[in-house]
Amino acid sequence: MDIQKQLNNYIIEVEAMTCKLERNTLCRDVSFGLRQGDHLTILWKDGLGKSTFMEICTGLLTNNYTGIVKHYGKDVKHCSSELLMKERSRTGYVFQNSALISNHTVFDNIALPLRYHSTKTNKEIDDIVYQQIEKYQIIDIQNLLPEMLTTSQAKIVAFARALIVDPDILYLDEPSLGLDHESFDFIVDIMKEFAQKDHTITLLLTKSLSLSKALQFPIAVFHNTKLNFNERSRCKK
Amino acid sequence: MARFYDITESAGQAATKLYYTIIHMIFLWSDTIVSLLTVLNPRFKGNKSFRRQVSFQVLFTGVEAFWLIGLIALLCGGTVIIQAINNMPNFGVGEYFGKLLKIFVVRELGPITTFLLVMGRSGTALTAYLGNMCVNKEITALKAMGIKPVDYLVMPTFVGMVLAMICLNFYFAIISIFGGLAVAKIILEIPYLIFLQKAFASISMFDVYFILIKSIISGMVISIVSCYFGLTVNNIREVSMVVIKSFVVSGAIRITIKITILALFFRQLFPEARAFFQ
Repeated sequence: MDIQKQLNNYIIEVEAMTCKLERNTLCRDVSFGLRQGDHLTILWKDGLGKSTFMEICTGLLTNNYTGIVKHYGKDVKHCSSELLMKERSRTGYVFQNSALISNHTVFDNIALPLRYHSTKTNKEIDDIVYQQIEKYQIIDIQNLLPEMLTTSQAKIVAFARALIVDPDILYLDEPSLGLDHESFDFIVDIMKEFAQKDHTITLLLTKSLSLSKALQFPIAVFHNTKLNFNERSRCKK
Repeated sequence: MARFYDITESAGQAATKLYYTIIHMIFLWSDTIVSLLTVLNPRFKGNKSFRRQVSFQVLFTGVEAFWLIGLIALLCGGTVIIQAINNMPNFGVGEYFGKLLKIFVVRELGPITTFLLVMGRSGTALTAYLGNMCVNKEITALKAMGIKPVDYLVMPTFVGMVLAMICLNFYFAIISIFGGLAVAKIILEIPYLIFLQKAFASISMFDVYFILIKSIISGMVISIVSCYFGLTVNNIREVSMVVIKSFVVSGAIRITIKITILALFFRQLFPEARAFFQ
């Protein structure tokens, strides 16, 4: 009964959210919710505040907007920072610019969330990271710093870092930007593999039609500051 | 023409800003202490990067500055001894050059020179580094992974900086004495033993504690102020400004702390001075 109740509840819930940055209105009266097993693609033109919207949805930004953003039924504005940090240890976030830590090597970047959150020993963590590096075929660049990587390589490392903690929720902010064809296909496979896992949630913000077609997640489109749902009413509120 | 109202308004805004800056720095300092106590708890198993980050900071602040600080300490010690031995006999206190070296170089010049060098070299670099991390969304990425920037960046920097400052201050004191020794031997041909006897006889445990406390305060001020200003950057244009701000503010805070401590505990710290004026 509890499991059924949990499945019906929204894990991420946005209610009547309006966001204004200086004079520009980013979005107006946006509402949607994601339950376990939901995957949503939001198509949005460049330069209109995708990253800010994503930061609001993840609870990283708690000002600059009106309305309610709830995670696991709790308003992120009123959650303690400890609770939010604990929750974030089970989420993955791929940034538009990859946002790898600049003075850490690729290996250290991937190991970072595990070293901070996990109670495993350093040896066990290194083994897990090495397996991840093998899976993502980045063995030859594991000792390089982020500045030496190409855009595609940095993006793949960002995926490896986001997914190393085996997250429940994956936030993707323009993940296909600057990727070559091979890396694009590789990342699509990774995202599909993640979506096939039970009870996972994906929120993808992109301008790329080819990515949304390749993934075949339900699509919502931002148009004139409004969010319009094209398919599958389940995510719609 | 600026109206009186504009001037008072600007002054009020500046005072309010200063007040909030100080309050936020105190909060950052307290968060750092809490984070440090958490890591030092033997039952705490997380944050395994702590040692790595601390050793990186000690390497950058302490080890890489060794040559520079050593050279300046050598020059300070040598210069003070040359001037002391040339001029002190005129006042009839020629035999007190060891005490002068202790009071002037080991107690005062050493800590302040080390502070200025470390602030100028490591503190500003740290502010710029954190500022760039903010601009490149690396700080946001840490938060998105559930990693508190205070735990991962500020606290190891704080520990590393304090450790490095302690080592550098004692290193400065020792090298300045040897600088004086070299000058005394080579230029003035004073025997080693007499010099070392006079220099070390005047150094007491009080001086050791004095240097220790000064190093800890300097390390704390540099790390907290640099991290605070580094973490407040919003865009790339602000980076150069916060670097300058962090240098000036940390100097001002260091001087304020020193004046406050001297004003409160001068009589207890320096009983000789009290006896002299009575």
